[in-house]
Amino acid sequence: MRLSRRDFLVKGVQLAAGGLVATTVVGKVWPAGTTLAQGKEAPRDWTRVWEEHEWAFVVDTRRCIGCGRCVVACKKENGVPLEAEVTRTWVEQYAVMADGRTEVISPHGGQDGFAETKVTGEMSKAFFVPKLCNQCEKPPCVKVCPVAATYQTGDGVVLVDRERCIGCRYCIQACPYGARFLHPELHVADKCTWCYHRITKGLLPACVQTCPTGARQFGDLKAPDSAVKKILEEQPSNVLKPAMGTEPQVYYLALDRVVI
Amino acid sequence: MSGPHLKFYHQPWFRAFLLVVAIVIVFFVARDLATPASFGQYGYYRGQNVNDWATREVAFSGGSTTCQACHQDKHEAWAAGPHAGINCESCHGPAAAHPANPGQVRPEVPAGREFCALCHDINVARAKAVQQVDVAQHNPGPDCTTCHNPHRPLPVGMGGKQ
Repeated sequence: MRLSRRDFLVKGVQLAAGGLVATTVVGKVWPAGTTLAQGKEAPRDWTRVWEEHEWAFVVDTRRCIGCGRCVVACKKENGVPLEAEVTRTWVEQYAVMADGRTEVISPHGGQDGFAETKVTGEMSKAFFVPKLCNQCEKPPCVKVCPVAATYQTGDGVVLVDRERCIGCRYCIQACPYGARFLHPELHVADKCTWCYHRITKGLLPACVQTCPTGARQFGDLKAPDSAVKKILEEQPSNVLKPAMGTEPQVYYLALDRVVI
Repeated sequence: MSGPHLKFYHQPWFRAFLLVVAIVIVFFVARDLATPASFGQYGYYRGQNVNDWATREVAFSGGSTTCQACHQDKHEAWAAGPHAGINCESCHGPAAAHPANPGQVRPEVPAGREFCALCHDINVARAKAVQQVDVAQHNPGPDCTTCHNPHRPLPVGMGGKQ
């Protein structure tokens, strides 16, 4: 039996079209992961929970005293080793010197305070700036993940699935704020979760709760008596690197223009 | 087109069709095996992972009111002084496990001048609203708590130390 070139092409196109239709049909009636995958217990339905919340984080740089209690609390709450150089949140000390230079330091993320690194010399101003994941509304870290291990929840928090993460570090590179790191023990990407296990239980993030001066505030913009909503309505605020287009949800009060 | 003596299942087009069907089946079985059960539940990620994060145990408790139930005396001193409003666990560390097992799980009791210095040492970058002393010059040697009650740190002679 011989097929002409024309017949071969016609049959080939017909088979390809048939395959496409079959794939689509089977895909509809048998979605991925429904029958054969090892089934865990049915997860709680979060869609309704997410509708009720819109979290926001407010940092008042005028109130930060650089004690580093937030950094220590974060590490203890979230299982990041104290001795590790990496951290989910940190405090930076800025000093704008008289000659115009800006000196920025954050020894051990500020977890041991700034006693050893006091600013000396002629300066025009000095202050502390707490930093953490901005939980961007348009997170570049989520976009670059090749294995769908990082994602944004419906209430706006960016999380990392430790079971799926392969530790490729693309997300660490993608974050314009340096908020991600490779967990030194688990070897997966790690980052601030706004203490998702606390806020979903009605508690404050550990750093907010332990901040002695109220430099860190957290709340739900959808709550009727929301303190952070009131602050953001009444006071001028800014976000870090607005030109990046990431739409951060950490809002800074009295943010100096030298802060990057 | 093809020879008249061949049944349809011997025809090349039918064999190719079977191959396509086999590939489609293998694709779907493989995809199903490789995809976690809750993937795609809320979006392009494993939905179960939201639960994984949300159900983690807390290390820090809900706040100072939790401590008040047992430590009424400390709470009263704290509430009347300049440290009022600062969470117990800011200095004492994570204590969520303490109430259920007070004998075994002991919160930290910070000691040494360096700890108080974290907030109170003179630093030009520090907000002026917080009381600051030159820790190296201010009565060097003894722990701050020798003179100052950490729960109600008033100046010596003004009722600060119990």
